[in-house]
Amino acid sequence: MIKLSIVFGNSPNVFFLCPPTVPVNNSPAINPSSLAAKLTSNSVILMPPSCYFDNLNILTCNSPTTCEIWLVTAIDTGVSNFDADKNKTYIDTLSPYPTAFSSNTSKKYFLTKLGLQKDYPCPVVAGTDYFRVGSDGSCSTPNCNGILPVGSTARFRYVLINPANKTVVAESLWSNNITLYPLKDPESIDNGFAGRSASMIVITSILCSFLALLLLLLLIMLIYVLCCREEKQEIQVPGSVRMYDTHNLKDPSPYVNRAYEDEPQRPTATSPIRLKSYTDYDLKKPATEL
Amino acid sequence: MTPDLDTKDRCFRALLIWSNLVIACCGIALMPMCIFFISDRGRLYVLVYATGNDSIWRGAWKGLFTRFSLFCTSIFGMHAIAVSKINILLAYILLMAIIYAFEVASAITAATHKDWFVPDLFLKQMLQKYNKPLPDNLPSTQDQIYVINGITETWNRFMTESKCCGVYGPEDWVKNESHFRQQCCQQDAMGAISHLEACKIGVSPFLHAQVTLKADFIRHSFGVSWFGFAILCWTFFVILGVIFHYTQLDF
Repeated sequence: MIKLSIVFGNSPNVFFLCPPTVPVNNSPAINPSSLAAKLTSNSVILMPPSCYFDNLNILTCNSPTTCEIWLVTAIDTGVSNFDADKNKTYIDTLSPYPTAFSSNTSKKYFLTKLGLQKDYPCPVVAGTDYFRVGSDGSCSTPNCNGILPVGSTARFRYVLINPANKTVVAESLWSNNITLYPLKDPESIDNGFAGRSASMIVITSILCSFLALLLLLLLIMLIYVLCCREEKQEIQVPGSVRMYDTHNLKDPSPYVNRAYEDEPQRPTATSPIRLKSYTDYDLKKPATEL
Repeated sequence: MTPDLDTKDRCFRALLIWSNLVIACCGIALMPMCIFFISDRGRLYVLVYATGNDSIWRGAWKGLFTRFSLFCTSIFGMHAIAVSKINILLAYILLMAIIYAFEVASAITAATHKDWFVPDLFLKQMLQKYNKPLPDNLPSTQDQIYVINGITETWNRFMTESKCCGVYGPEDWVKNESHFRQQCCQQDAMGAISHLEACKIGVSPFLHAQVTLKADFIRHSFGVSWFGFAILCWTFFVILGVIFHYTQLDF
């Protein structure tokens, strides 16, 4: 670290014995808290410069109520462009935001004011421990906090500025490269088919086999009922069943069963039957009448 | 018939009648599930329609009618088995076979079409269509207008009511569009945003950070396919029993 020696004002006639800006051994970094928007495609949330510029002995700007803290955002060649410009006065007008990234020949850096040094005390006040680069959106004033080009890789630096002539009196180190998200085309999202799930395979296979089995068994049942049952019904039953005639309905005359025509006349009511007794049980003797 | 066979036959008939009662109860109980799915209380139909794969609704409609038919036919079957006349039983068996085939179709349709719904499908649809400008050439673009408006309203409702922000979370918007949607911010009781600055930088309670796509309709489609599967497994064995009983009848 280079030590500061006494500076005799900003007049160009004075020969500076050492570099006029005081480097500070801090560098900006992305805010480590779990903020959902800390890195987007055109904005970043950084840690604030809370303890960066304390304990410096700068005569030109030694009061926290006057010194201003500004942020330098630089892309690509903007880093070297700013380093070349940083000793000039009215640094805030050299590369205003609207033209900073507009063409290939622009300076590719811009400055935006955070506030007075007293607004960033050390230690940091809870609830203010963030600084969002790009919070002004697409703005058009020269030093607004505008959004960065989409997907660019930027480096940041906090600087302490003397408000009288807008010169840089102290500066932090450059941050690491911070790459913003490139804009993705939604067409590139693969919404394709992820494959058949296990439940679908189980359901389809089991149900299809059940249905096939059911139809097969139904077919077998119908064939069995229509074909095999009929064969049983064709068995001939011989005998009186075929000759059976519903005589009492068709022919009201008294029925004579022709099968018994040849048998001798049975006794009727006119010739009573005389019972015969058996006094002894010798069956060889004829029975005697009572 | 000997008394022994008679008892067996009566037991078997009683078993078949009880089985048909079970089918009737299942049918009438599962029919409302299909009605619930079709009624789409979450109003998610437009999201599914925009993917072009809304056949899962057809499966649910089929399921509704087949389950009601199962209810009616199994009550008829209880009578048919009690009476055990040939023609009535044959009619019952054929009806059940037809309804069985349609219920199989319903369950398989619901199961296969559910596989299409991966989260990236809805993410792509959301990024392509949410709040996009409406096309000009009426009336040939009525369908596109319906889809764009439907997706925008559905996601606005999702993000506000279910307290979420995007399909996977706020990073969907951050990576693809670089800022959050206003609906992702926490709102107070009056509907105003609680803390806009905190929401813009993404501090957790002021920005909804839950993972979304509580796609209830995907869960309810399980009801169409798996409950259909269950009722069909049972019905298969009941129909087999009735077929066997039919072949044992005296003609």
